[in-house]
Amino acid sequence: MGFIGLYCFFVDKLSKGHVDEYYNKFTQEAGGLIIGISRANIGISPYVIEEELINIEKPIINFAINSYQSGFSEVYFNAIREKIKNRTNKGIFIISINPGNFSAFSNIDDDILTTDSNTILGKTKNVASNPNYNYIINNYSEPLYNAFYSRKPEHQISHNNGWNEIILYTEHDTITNNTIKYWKSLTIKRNIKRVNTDEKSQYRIDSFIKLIKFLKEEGHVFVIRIPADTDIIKFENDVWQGFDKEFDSITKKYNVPYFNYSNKSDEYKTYDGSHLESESAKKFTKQLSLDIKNYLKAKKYKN
Amino acid sequence: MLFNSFEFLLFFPIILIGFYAIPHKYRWLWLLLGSYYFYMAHEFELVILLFISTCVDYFCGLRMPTASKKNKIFYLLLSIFVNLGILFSFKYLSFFTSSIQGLLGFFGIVISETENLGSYNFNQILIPVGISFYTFQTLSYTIDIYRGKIEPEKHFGVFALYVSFFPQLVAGPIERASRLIPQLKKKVDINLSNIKKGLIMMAWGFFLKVVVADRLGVYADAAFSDPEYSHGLPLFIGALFFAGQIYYDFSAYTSIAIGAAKTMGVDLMQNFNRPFFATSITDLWKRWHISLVEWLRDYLFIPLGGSKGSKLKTIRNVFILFFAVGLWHGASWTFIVWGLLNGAILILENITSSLRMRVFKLLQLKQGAINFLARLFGVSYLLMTLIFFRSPSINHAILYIKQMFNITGLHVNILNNYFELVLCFILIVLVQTIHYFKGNDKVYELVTQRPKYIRYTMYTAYAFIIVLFAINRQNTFIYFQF
Repeated sequence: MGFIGLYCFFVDKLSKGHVDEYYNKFTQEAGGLIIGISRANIGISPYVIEEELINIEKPIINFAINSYQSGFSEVYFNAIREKIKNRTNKGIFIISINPGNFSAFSNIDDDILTTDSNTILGKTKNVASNPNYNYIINNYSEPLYNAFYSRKPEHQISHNNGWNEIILYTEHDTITNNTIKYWKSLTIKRNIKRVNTDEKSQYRIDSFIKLIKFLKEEGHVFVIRIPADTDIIKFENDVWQGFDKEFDSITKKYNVPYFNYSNKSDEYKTYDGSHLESESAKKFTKQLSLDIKNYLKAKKYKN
Repeated sequence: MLFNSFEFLLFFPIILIGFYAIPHKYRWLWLLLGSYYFYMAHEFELVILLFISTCVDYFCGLRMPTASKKNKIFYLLLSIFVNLGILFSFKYLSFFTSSIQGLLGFFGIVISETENLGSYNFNQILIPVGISFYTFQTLSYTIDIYRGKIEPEKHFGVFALYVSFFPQLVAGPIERASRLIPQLKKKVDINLSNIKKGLIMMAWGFFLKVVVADRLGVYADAAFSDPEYSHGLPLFIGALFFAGQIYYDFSAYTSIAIGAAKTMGVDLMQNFNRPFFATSITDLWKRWHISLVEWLRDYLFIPLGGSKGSKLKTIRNVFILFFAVGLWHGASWTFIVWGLLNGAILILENITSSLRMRVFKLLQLKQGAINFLARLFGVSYLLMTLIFFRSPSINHAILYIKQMFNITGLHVNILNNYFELVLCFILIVLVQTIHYFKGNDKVYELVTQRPKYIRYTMYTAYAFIIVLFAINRQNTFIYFQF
């Protein structure tokens, strides 16, 4: 009993400070969501969307994690449904896609449900509670002494709305262009490695379609492809030839817009070839918000 | 069921209280049911294999003493065939088919996956937890009966409990029937001193697992995941921490097993005896995973002739022994290379012993200095060979070693958490010091020999340390997979 009491005490203490980079995504219900993997997690700021699109249901929560945790799946679908269940008006749902959203380890389709159930989303039954003990007990793997000594990453700010912002310049350190170049080379190496271990998963594509169908009933759905370094985009397009065409036709079939920004990659800066740094993330989100605004306006006139 | 799980925290007190609450003559049944539940909580369907091994060996063991010589051999072979057959089918079939495919591929004969013994994918076969442990344990029983060393156990329930006794079922120590069965049959009265010692050993095991081994594992995992992106000291530390991780992880399991058994009046054998203080590789293998090494010595090495024949024959036997050590650990070439590297150094050590003595004499080195050098060499060699043990492939291990010696800077922390790095080193020194003074088996003396107020302070400190410093990953014990 003593152990359990102590454990609960320190879990509560931890919940009052910085838990980890994903914790804030699970501490509140959402009016609208940003869905996807790491590119969306880092590259889309809910603040900018809320600022630009004044009349939408709030709050907008960045609910994207990474390709191992939040590929399209039943688990992600259930978490999204839970996250927006008490919303009153139609929401905005931005679904970011790239080949990483639809990949899974080779030959895993048979056991994909078990794999997904072991992700953060699978293990967290309560996706909107503050404090979220359920999240901490099931996912927090660091020692609990962090309740007293919280170690935040130098270049990353985890916002309350779930956005993980990466800043190049801090008081003590700068991510230089050389470092960016080096990190980009690592990203390319990792991507090459992933091509050998992962494959396109029909289950993930089906889950994506199921999600679109569901969210269409709940509000306005926008499927987007976030820009990244041109070499990385080229690599992805070479590996999955016709990706944009394929998803363009899927989104057309279900009558949702597909905004593809991958061909505007040279307008934005990444910190590792794949993920937008803070300023580019804000700039990109602003552009995205304007496009959404225009789309909604046009749709209104049409109706 | 994992020892380091919430379920076990409920399961164990129930078993212990039930054990002392029910009359002696029904305790075997209580423990047997508990042991099967313990196993099924982890792997429900595969318990059938445990049951088959138990039935076959019980039957063979019972028949052997009264059988004719020919039939005796038949029963022994039946036991070996069934046990090793199950082990081979579930643990090694995939490895052998892929190795044969690879070999044929080398000669230009390509067999597609669908032609591979039908269309079944052998990689999908689930390896039953602890299969190597209980297979060896139950095999030693029939072999010992065949050799006339022990009498068969007539009580099926007691025999089934010997095979499945939950504290050591999934990761040893591999006990012999002559030691364990009499203890399981002995009437045990409540002995608070034994219960206390057992619980302290279990608490020590939990500490070793969740605070030490899992912490070292975080760093080791990071180092081994992508060696091409790192080099020099971080990889060296990764290898060192993996050596620590595997030792403390397995030692933790053994401590919990020994402690849990002790609370019920059963003394399990020691599996480790301060291996990092070994003064030679030969000495190290007398201190590391003792129950397996003794098993292979008694049932493989000595029957092959041991070290009694010619030098060449001894070398052959040592290589066969260490090939078996490697293969026992897993169906992979990395384990086999690890085993063979240990066999090779053991032979080299043996061959050069007189030469080394002459050199030490010439250099006028004192025994203390010789022991220090030997320990340093032993641990370093163990560390190097364990890189093969940890790596997913031989190429990965070679790349790791290559990158490890590619020293271009002194930045040591790939996790960028210096506090944790320093804590890892402090914990290694702490545990080694405790093991040095108390051995692996008498750690409870640290507590039991203190005055009451110090004991209670230690209990409180322990609770805080576990809660605050544990790595909360519920990692399985590494040796579960074997």
